Amino acid sequence: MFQSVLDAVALLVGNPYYLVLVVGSVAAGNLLGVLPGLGVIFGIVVLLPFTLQLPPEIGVVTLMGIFVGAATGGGLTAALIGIPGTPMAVATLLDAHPMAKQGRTGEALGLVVIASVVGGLFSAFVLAFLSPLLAKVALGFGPPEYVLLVGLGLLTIAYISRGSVMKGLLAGLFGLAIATVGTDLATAQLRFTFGVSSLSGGFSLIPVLLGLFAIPEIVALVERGQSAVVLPREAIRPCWPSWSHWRESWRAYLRSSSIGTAVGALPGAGADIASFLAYAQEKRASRNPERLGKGDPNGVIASEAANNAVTGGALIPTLTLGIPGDAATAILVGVLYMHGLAPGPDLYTQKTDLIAFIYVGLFFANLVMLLLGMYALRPFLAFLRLPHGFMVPAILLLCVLGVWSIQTSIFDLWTMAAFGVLGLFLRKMEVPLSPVILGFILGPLLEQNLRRALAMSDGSPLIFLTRPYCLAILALLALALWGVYAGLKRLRAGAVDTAG
Amino acid sequence: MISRRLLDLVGAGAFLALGAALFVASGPLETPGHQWMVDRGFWPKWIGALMMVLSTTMALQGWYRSAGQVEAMPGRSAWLLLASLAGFLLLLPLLGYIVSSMLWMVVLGRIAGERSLVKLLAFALGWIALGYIVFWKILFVPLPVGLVEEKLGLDYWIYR
Repeated sequence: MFQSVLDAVALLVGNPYYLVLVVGSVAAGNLLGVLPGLGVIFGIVVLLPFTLQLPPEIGVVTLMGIFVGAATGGGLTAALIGIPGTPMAVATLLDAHPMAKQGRTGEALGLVVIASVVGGLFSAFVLAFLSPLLAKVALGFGPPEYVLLVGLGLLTIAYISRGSVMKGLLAGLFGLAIATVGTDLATAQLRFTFGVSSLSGGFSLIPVLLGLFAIPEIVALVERGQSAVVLPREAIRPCWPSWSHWRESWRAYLRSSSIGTAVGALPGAGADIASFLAYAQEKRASRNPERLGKGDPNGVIASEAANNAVTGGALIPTLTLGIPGDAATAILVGVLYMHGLAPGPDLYTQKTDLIAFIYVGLFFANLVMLLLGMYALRPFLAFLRLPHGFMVPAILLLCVLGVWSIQTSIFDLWTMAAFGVLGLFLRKMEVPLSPVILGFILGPLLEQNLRRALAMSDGSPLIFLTRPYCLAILALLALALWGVYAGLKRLRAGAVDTAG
Repeated sequence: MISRRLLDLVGAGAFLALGAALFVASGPLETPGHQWMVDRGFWPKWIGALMMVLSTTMALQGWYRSAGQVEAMPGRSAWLLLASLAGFLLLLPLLGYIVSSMLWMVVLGRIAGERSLVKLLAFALGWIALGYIVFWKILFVPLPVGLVEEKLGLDYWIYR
């Protein structure tokens, strides 16, 4: 593996085309993260068609670059204008914006960038060291273990999603339902295609994603109307933290990065939950908890390090088991399948070059973010002033071209429009969209493994409770979820206290 | 504004109808006497059944627990935006990428609040040209050619 990592570094650094792509993806992600209301998933979805035109290794790394850029961009807007660019930056707002209002804008922006990069690098290290070990264990998994992992993962994601649990579960089932359209993989017979030949391969991933996520988001942007963004008059120049800052705050970096990585590795608990959990933990661990929420640097560190550490954490189950931790990594799984690669333990034995390239790419994306954030921030912030009258048509045409570029099919464009209308109504009915996407992407995997597992046991469901790995998965998941629920419960109790 | 209760009931009704449709449509896909391992109706039938159970629970929850008012229907600008998308998709095979995109971008810009037609036209032209360069010249993705473009022989000049 070490040799593969060195080869990956040489490939990335020695290829200007790859370098430009990584820098471009981080910059594009940062731009979409800076613009309030768009967010990480939107960024990944809109730019996804471009990454599919690339070789798989750099395609995956550009997706990670978009994630890293968008996650950091959201915090920058939170600090500067008090509007979080992404939901995961809401906790950042609590301290970063007060810092900016106290005239410490440069310090706040610097902390957002540095904490994000520290969190991202930490999780990339954990990913590099932990995932090969997990992949070795996962080599012993069979269909029943995969059914449990995918099924319980979906259940958790639907459960943890915002709003009603029932709506989250129904959203997951809806995703599974639309994944049944097309050719049944076990029998090669058609299912629910109603004589439409374009549906024989099922609904394509890109039109469904863009329809469900991008179109409702753009509609919401138009409905909200243009809000006047006033940037501070003072020079917007992020500051590097001093040595004394590192001495005082290294524990906060370590704590929050660990929480972000661990939460990222769990199904369903995404970056926004990670940042709030880390913030709550920081408040408990702080010697001056009353300072948090009033411009304490450790509050910014907690939120930003945690939400960016989710990137590497979420890749652990995604790459080793093929089970995504959230909607962003679910899209990554879909992308790997579209490239003819099945994420899972076999990837670690058969495609070590690809895995090494992903590690190196993730490190590199974080370093690019550091440079862009510290030295080239102003052009990104200038986009905050772009009128919706230009932004909306530009993004929508990009979506159309993206869908068209996959199969040059008008049917796919109509599919995007139809799922756009559907996504709009699901949003209005307060049905979370992430479980739909996870159900859609993981549906075929779950169905195949369920049928195989039940065939192994002659139809007896006891197979899921009698195999040692199955029991271990159930126990570990229960333990991990208990930790997240306990954390969330404390968080909610804290929120009630604060509100009271 | 409509009541949250009504919204939840409508949502539950939609999921119930979808679940029932899936359950019924899966019936003919089952192969009697075959090992259900190779049965393509097994999985959708279970999904349909679960959807029916959960949507009934959602309806009951909505009836007993939901309160308050919500903004449920998309506004005028949302409908205009969706209608413009449908119009664009209908025009695309007729007028091709350049002309239909130009018209659509101008309409979208107006819906999104931009008043200056000149600025919109200039921006649309630049963005469409960029799309043409990136997709056709760099990525070699053939862009939609319209019947009108073909009749006038413009496709040869644009996509040679």
